[in-house]
This record gives sequence, C-alpha cells and structure tokens, in this order.
Amino acid sequence: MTNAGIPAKSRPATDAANAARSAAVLMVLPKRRRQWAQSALVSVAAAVLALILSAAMFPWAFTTYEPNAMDLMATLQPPSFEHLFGTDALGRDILCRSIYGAQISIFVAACAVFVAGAVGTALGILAAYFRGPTDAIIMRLADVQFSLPAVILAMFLVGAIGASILNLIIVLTLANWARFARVIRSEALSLRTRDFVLLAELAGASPLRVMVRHIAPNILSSLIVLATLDVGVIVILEATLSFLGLGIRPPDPSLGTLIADGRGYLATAWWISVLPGLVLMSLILACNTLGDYLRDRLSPTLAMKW
Amino acid sequence: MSKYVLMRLLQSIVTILLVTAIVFVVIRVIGDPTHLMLPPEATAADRELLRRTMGLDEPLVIQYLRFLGDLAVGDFGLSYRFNQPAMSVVLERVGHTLVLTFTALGIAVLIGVPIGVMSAVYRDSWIDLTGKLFAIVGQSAPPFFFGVLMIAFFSVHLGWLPTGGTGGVQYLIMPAIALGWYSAAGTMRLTRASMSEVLEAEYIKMAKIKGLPQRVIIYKHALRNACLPVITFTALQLGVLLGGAVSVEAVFAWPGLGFLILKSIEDLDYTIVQAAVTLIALSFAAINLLVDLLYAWIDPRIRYD
Repeated sequence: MTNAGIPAKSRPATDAANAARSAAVLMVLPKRRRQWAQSALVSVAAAVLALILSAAMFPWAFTTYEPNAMDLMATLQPPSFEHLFGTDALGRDILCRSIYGAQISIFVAACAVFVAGAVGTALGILAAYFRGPTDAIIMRLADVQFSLPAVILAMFLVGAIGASILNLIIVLTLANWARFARVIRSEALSLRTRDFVLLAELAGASPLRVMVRHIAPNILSSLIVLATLDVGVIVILEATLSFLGLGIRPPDPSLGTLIADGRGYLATAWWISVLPGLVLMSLILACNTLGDYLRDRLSPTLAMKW
Repeated sequence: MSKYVLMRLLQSIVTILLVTAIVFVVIRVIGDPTHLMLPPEATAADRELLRRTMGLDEPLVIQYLRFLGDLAVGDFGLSYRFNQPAMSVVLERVGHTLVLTFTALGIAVLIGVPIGVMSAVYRDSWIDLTGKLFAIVGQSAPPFFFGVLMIAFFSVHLGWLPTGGTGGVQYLIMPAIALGWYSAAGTMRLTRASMSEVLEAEYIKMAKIKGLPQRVIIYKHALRNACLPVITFTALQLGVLLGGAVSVEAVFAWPGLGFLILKSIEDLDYTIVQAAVTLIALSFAAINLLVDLLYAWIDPRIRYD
C-alpha cells in the first residue's frame, strides 16, 4: 500500500508511528528462539512434574527416612548432604516429609479433579440435552457453588463434616464441580443443534445413547484441558485447607501442614517452611504450564471461557 | 430489558434461598448446637429443655422458615464466644477485610493492567516473556506461602515490617501484596489477551493510517475497548480475593472476616460461621447480579438471549 490516498499532512506522524513500530520490532525475539523458549519451558515443566510424581509414587527410591520418624539427636539441622532439606524441631527429615506430603496432596487433588470433572461433565451434558427444568435446577445449583469463594465453602463444609482424606476429596469436589458443568454445558448446547446429533435422534437413538456416544466424545478435549488446568487450582485449595488446619491432620505430612509447621521457626530454621513450599510451588507451576500448553494445542477457544 | 432484569433478579433470589437452605441444613442437621451450648455434664432432660426453648424439636421446614424470618432482620443469634449478636461481631470485622481486599485489588490492577498492555503491544518481545513468567509464577504461588516467604525475608531477616497484626500502613503492605499478587497475574493475562485482540481490529489500523501517535492509539482507542472484560474480571476477582483473604489473614493475624470464620470453626461457634457465610453469599450474589446487569446494559445482545 502506498501513501497516495493519505493526506500529506499526516505523513510525518505516520513516520513517527513507523519508527515506534520498528523500535518495537527490534525487541521482538526471532520466531525460532521464541518457539525454543516455549518448548524449553514446557519440557522443564514436564521434567519437574515427572520428578515430583515419581518421588510421590516411589518414595523409597528417593529417601531412606521415615516421614514420622523422630531423631532427637538431630533437631533443627540446616540442609546438608545427610538431610537435603534439613530437619524440623523433632528431628524429622524435611525432604522425606515433603515427598510423603506431595504424595497425599497429589492423590487428593487427582481424586477431586477426577470426581469433579466426571460429575460436572455429566450434569453439564444433562442440562444441555434436556434444557428446561433440568437445566434450570442444575445451573442454580452451580450458582450456589459460585456464590461462595471456594476456600470459604470448603472451610464451612470441612468444619461441619470433619477433616479426613475422604471428606477432603468430597469437599474439594463440591467446591469445584460447577466450573466443569458451566463450560461443558455451553459446549454441549452448541453440539446439540449439530446435524449429526439431530440425525442420530431421527434414527431413533435413545437420549442416553446420544449423550454418551455423540455428545460426550466431542467435548473430550475441552474436558482434558479444563481438568489439567484445574489440578493447579485444587492443589492450592488443598494446601490452603491443610495450612489452615482443616485438611490433612498432623502427624501426617501434607505440603500445606509442613509450611504451617515451620511458621514458628522462620527466624531460626527457615527451611522447615520454605523448602516444602518451594516443592508445592514447583508442582503447581508445572501443572499450570502444562495446562496452558495443552489448552493452546487442543482447544484455543477455551481461553476466554476459563 | 425489564424482562431480563426481572429474570436475572429472580435467579439471584433463588440462588440466595438455596444458599441459605444449604447453610441451614449443614449447620442444624449435622451439628447439634445444644452440644456446644451445654456443659458436658448436662443431663438428657436439660438438653431436651434447651432444644424445646430453641425450637429445635419442630419440623425442619418450620425451623427453616423461622431461620429465614430471623435472617430478614439480620438476627443470627448470640455468639457464645463473644456473648454478642453474631451479626454485629461479623460486621465489626468486615471493615478490616474490605481494606485488605480492596488494597489487594488495587495492587492487582496497578500491576496487571500496565504489564498486560505492554505485553500485548510488544508481543513476543522480552517484555512479553518477562510478563508471562511473572503471570505463571504469580498464579502458582499460593497467597499464604507468598506471605510466609515475605515474613521470612522482610520481617525476620531484614526487620523492616511487622510480622502481623493491625495498625498503620506498615501492617497492610505485606498482606495486601501477598493477596494481590495472585490476582495481578490473572489481570495481566486477561489484559494481554483482550488487548491483543483489539489491536488486530480494523479501527486500530485506521487510527494507525490516520497517523495518530502510538500513545493515543494504545490508551485511547485500544485500551478503552479492551477494558470491558478486564473490569468484569476485576469485579469477579473480589470473590477470589475474599477467599484468598482467609489464609492471608491467618498468616498475618489480620483481624478480618476470614480469620474470624477460621477461629469460629475451630471453636465451634456456629452462629458466627452462619452469619458470615450468609453475608458473603449475599454480597456475592449482589456483585454477580450487578455485573450481569451492567453487561446487559452495555451490550444489548445479551438481553435478547
């Protein structure tokens, strides 16, 4: 395009804008390096997640200590080769406790995401398929979940039914299913009007068959992305509850309780809180990075709905 | 429009009724308040008497309706710990939480929006990469752990700021940053996404062709159109902040609503929990309603759905 159609007086300003733009161009990384940065980030995240997961699954391969074994001859030891993460006031090995803590956190989060994903998806599809009263009831229930911050809802429920691993999974599910239901419902609503669904109905397929065989498979990629992104949120929620004393109960370690345990020793033994906290952060960081990556690859339209 | 407003209002009322019903059921059915109000040596007859005077022997539906009636006048009963009406204890604490959440929200917007705008304008530059890194780390740091880290460094190591409590501004700095950081990351990502989309629009190209300075294009033409989703997000972020405030308040012994709920759950002071949870749900439903109505007012397409 030439400048022919533009009034002459605006040309200098256009040049100024061009200059600004080329200044911007200078700061843009070459495309190859950009992709390299992206894939490097994803690889690091995958490696970190693999390391944490394998430590959680095979703790004996990573530590020779017992999570609750006290050693009163070695209390409040700073990190050393013997105790990589140091020891707490009872001489328990912090690395070992972090590994077992991560194990519980990951187990609880995985169960909660799985159940919340399954329940939310089922309700979302039901609401979209039947519309009318079914839709209204399910969506009002979702509104109820959304009308309380997840932490407060979870605290309230744990306070009522008591803290245990099973209750924690139940509570985290109750505090988290509605997100799945809303997104899946809107996806299913648009699938509902597609020709292949209408044809399946014309051919006499039962509602159950339409929902399971025709709608469900088409929302799978959204569900995977939602679930991956949800893991980080649930891990934070579980850690918050445990930190507040409403999740995993001592002496069992969880990353949240470990951070809470060390709060009184920040001046003398910072490692008790800080190192398990860094494990927690790396876990969440890895989950979020992989979730973002999966979303970009599988379902870019989800970005705005989330 | 009036039909939409009416529908939306009705929805909110249903939601609030459901929330109160759930709060009522969870508290009255699962926990028997007489266990908390009587000394352990009380006899079954004492308990029965108390149950009758409290109306706990009546059908649940009647009890729920009475609960709703009390709720309408803000009467949640006495807190046995404070020996005051539960609602007045809750309202005393609301101020502290509001100061904390709004400061955090301010921090989130002041950090998130400029970085988001810069990231969108200089897409894929080192600014964008740094911004992305900032967002990823921000969304991965639980506010309570960020708070613990700050205490370890700024209070214990450097001795600059108090570890907790309330008083002057120095007490507010760390809790507000710990809380706001998490939302800043989200605000930044959304600003970036929404700005990037707007910057592709025809009228931005037009503004460039007209030869407007970049500053005017970015702030006057692009940001104004990109800020609608950001405003919604910020409004809804209040809820996230209110939730996050619980753990941050616990870390910094900040005497707000979250800290009060936590202590009340620990001490089984359920009148307080009930009052606080209901209040939060009500204000939430109100925020959601306002955001939706504002949206419908701005964007007519929504009303005709």
